[in-house]
Order: sequence, then structure tokens, then C-alpha cells
Amino acid sequence: MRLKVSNLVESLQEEILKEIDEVYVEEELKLNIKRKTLEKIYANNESSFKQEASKKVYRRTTKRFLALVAVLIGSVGILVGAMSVNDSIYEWFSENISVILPHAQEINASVSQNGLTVTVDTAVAGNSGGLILISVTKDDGSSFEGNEEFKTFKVMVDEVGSAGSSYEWDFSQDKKKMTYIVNLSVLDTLTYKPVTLKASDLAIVTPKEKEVPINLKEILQKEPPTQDVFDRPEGEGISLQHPDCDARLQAVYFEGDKLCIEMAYTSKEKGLWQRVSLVDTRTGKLIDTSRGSSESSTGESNLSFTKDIYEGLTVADLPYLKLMNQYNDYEYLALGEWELHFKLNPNENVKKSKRTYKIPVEEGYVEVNQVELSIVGGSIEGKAVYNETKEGKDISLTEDFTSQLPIILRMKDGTKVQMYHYLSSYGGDNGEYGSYIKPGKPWESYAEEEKERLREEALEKRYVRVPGFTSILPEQFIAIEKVESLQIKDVVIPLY
Amino acid sequence: MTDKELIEQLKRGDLPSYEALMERYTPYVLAVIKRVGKERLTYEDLEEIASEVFLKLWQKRKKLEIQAGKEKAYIGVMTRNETLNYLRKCKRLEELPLEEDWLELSEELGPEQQLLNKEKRSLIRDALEQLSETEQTLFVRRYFYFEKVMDIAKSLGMKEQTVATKLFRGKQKLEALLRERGIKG
Repeated sequence: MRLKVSNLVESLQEEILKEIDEVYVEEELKLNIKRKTLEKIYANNESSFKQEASKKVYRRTTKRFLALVAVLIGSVGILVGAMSVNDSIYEWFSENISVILPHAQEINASVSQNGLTVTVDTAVAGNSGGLILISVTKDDGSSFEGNEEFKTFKVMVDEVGSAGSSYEWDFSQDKKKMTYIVNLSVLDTLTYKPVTLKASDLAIVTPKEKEVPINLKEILQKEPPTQDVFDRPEGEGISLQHPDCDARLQAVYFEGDKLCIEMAYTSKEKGLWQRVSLVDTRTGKLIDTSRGSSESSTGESNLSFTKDIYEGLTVADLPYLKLMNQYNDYEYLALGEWELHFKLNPNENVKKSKRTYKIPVEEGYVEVNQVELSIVGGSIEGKAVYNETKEGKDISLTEDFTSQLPIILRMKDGTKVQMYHYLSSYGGDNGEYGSYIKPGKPWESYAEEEKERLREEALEKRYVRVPGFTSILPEQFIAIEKVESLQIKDVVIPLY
Repeated sequence: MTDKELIEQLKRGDLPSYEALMERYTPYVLAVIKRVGKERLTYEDLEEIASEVFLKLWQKRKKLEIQAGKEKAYIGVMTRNETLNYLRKCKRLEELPLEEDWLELSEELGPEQQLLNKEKRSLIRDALEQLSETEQTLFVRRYFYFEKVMDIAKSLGMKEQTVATKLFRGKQKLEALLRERGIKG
């Protein structure tokens, strides 16, 4: 009889292999392996993630032909998109890539001029909001310095009512690519609506500050201004000259022991800013504004107002206070405007409520007519029905409802995810409202120390992004297939 | 979550669990690939093989039957096989010459004795353990990792001829030990 020695030794392979110690693996290699694996899975028709998900939905909707059709259309669309999504998505979301990929769609709208190419790569979006990844590369293939940014950068959605967007950017490790990530939310359907991206003037931005030669005591007003900021004549106040943004000091007054400074800013373009701050010359330190600081801006004229409130000060402190003007200085690298138009495809891989629910509130009840939840957030639409009182309907209750009622996302495994209202609108007397919700807590609700920790954490995680707390990324992505219901106050709304 | 729980979740197609397994096992999978492939592999090869291992894990998810506590061993075996297949495909694996690999025993074993069931494995383990430590090392490197005699000799600071002789004598010793333990005519 003949035996192979290699077979004999192989029979002990478990023991032999167990002896091997793990090796240290660089994040980049880990990321590449994950990425390659997922790409292969997507390229392999018989075993895509998406098919798994759509099968689950199929079982629940066999009696509903229309729903089934919708699911199938959705799965085909998403699968096609996901197979070829751009590199950026792996760079930003490596740790959650398998949850995110089924929701990613390739956009690939691109514009090149003045040596730069701007490309809208990919979107991870539901039907009323999501994340859009936009890359910027140099046409000559050279690297960025790592401190460039566009002087202005805007993403706008046409044909919708309220929209909110915010963005941040980062550079690839070799600095050959700059990626902007935009978080877009609307109180409407986002899909198929024209979206416009406008970016202008690539520059190195240096924050600067200069002292404003104003004696606060001399201009102190005895009483707060009676006229609302929006009703004041344009150009009123003391001008603090700056080439990009006209800042006007409009009022300095005390409200009890609080020093209030009101400013109006008119910038040539949105996004250009300057701010004033107060320094105590006795300590040389900036004085914190209290939480009463407010800001509002008008839509068209790039005019914004702030009211900064400084606590614990008296008139006797004024001679020691110095007003500092903080602004950005731009060193231009590429001038011009890069404009792109694109649309997002619908994502049917969402969860929805099936009927109307009533949430009792103090003065009546609020109807929730529709909830739709995607991987990044969701929308709630409905109508408030208040008991008539002598004073009539109190619309502020709708505001309270959309901003203050606790919302919890309940998952099938029993875990809960706290949600918060990111954007809300109210339809006036008829009580209609709409709200865009996101997982996590609003930034304002974090304690200062926690904010500081989260900022540091976000900075450490630059480049290989995780959806930890940054100002743009959601605190977590929602694993849609695991969602069971949404709880508003004590009412549980099943989602399908 | 334990490995067992992750595997159970993976069988149900749970993506985060799959991702967690990848995260947990990438360092081990790479260690096995590096051990098997040694200098025959580039950085890109490591990526390619590791991704193949995890792909297979996903493809086989519904049929995975892994004894609790054996998850690492299962993934290790998959990884070694995948690495050897890759090396073969790229013609970077020098197969063992048959005459070197064959071990001659005097009589045929009955079908019920065909290797390698649990008892046989135990006998073989026992026999291999009787070899000296050097012989065991050489056997594993030559017959399990398919390293060239020349490379083994170089890394151990031995002469090529010495390694070949030790392997040959080890084989003779193993043959005798197997016979003693009932795998004989």
C-alpha cells in the first residue's frame, strides 16, 4: 500500500495551523481586502447581498403584487449601482461598507476646467435625503497640499420646499484626491429632482483676525433696539470693512447682566463669513458667548444676523473688552466655477408605515400619516388636529411635536436607536407638518466636554472614516432590514 | 459576539456579522497566507487570496457546519487550501515529486481502513510525534507548506543535503512507526 506523506501531515493541519499567530494588519490592507471581497460578491449574481434582502421582503409581500414589483425594481436598480460605486465610498465608510453598499448609487457626473475635475461620484440616499460623495482631482495628476478648499461650495435641490445641506471634505492618503461629502435632507421627495452643485475658486484658506477699533462704552445703547433685525434698513450700523463680507455692528446693549452684541453680515456669496468675538484684555482670553447666541439668515440676499450674548459682564468691564474681527484669507490656486447637475434614483429599499396613527398631545392629537425610513434617516408627515380653544389653534404645538417628542427606532433584535428631528416644516393653520429625522442626538444636546471628545475622535478618524460623530456623517447607519418599528411618544408604528 | 454566534448569523445572511467575521479573522487569515506563501507572494497576492477566502465563506454560508470552537481551524484550513490553489494557478508552487511524497507500506488497507478517519489521525499524530523535533519541523515545512528543500536548508542554516537526508530518514522512521501502530500488512 502507498500513502502520501503530505496527506498524513495534512491530517494534522488543524493543529499545525492553530500554531500560527495573527499578524498585525495595516488598516489600508484590511480595507482593500474587505473592498475586494464585497466587489466579488456583487459581481457574483447568484449571491449578491441585495438578493438576500429582496427575498425577505418577498415573503412578507406575496399578497401585494404592486409592492413586490416595487421591491424588484428597487433591487435591480440598486444592484446595478452598487456594482461599480466609486472608491470614495470605501474610503469614507470602510467599517460599515456592507450595510451601505446596497444603498449606494453611482452618479458619475463630471466637469473639468482650469486644471481641476470635479465629479459627483456616488450617493447613499433614501428618497428624502442622504449622503453624496464628490471628488476633486487635478488634471495633471499631481497631488494637493492638503489644506485646499473651495471658497464656496453649494449643493442645491430645485423643486422642493425645505432643504438642508452640510458638507465636509478630506484628502486621500496620497493627496491626489480631495473628497467632499454632502449631507442633504429635504422635506419632500428628493429623487428625480434636479440637484445642482456649484463650487468656486480653489484656495488655501487661512483664518485671520484683527482688532476692531471701537470703544464699546462709547457706542453702548441704553435700551435694546425696538426694531426687529429683519426690519432694519440695510446698511445700518458701523461697517467693519472686509473685501468679501460687509459686517455691520448694529447694536451693543445690556439685558440685565448680559452684554448683547448684534451684528449684520452681508456676504458677496453664501459661505463667506466673518465673525466678531470679544476678548478680555485683562486675561487675553476670548469670552465665551452664552447659548443665547442666535443666527438667522435671509434666503436671497446673503444677509445674516447674529445676536451674541455674553454673561456676567457689567459696564465697568467695557473698557477692558476688545472686539476682534475674525475672517478668512484666501490664497487662490484655481479660479473659476465648477457647476454640475444631476439627479438621484429612487431607493425602494426603505421601510414605510402602512396607515395613519394618532399621537395624543395636550391639546388634541397629531396624526402621523406617513413614515418612510432609509439607511441615513427618515421622513414623517402628518397633520395636527387640535381641540378648538378660546384662543383658537395653537400652531406652536405642531412645532413642539416635531421638535420635542422623543422618537425611538426599534430593531427586530430588541435594540433601540434614538432619533432626532433634523429638519421640520409646518403648514400653518391647517396643522400639516413634515419632519426629517436622523439617528443620534442633536449636536446641541451634547455637553461641552463630550463635544470636545467627539471632535477629537472625529479628527483622529480622518481619512478612513467611520460614522462616529462628525458634524456631517450620521451617528450610525440604519440596517434597514433589521428595523421593526418607530416609536413616537408611546405610540409604536410598525414599519414594512 | 462569539465566533459561533457570528457564524450562525452569517448562515442567515446577516451582513454585519459577516463584516465582523472579516474584521476579526483578517489578521489570522493573512498570517496563514504569509506562512504558506512566504516570499512567493506579493502584497497584491495577499489581498487577492484573503478576499477569495472570505468570498468562499460567504458563498458557503448556508452549508456551514462548524463544530463550536473549531471556527479558527476551519478558516485556517480554507485559507491554506486557497493559498495553495492560488500558487498552483500562478505556477509558483513546486509540487512534491511523487517518489519523495510516497510512503510504501507492505499491504493494502481495507476500504474501512482508508485514511483518514479519526482513529487513524490519532495514530498518525502519535507516530509523527515520535519523530525528533527537527524532523517534525522539516516534515511540516516540506510536506505541509511545500517549501523547497533549498529554502528550508537556507533558513535553518543547514546544508541542502542534510535536510534531504533527514527527510528521507524521517520517512523511513515514520513508515516503521505506522507499521508498529497497526497501519501495516
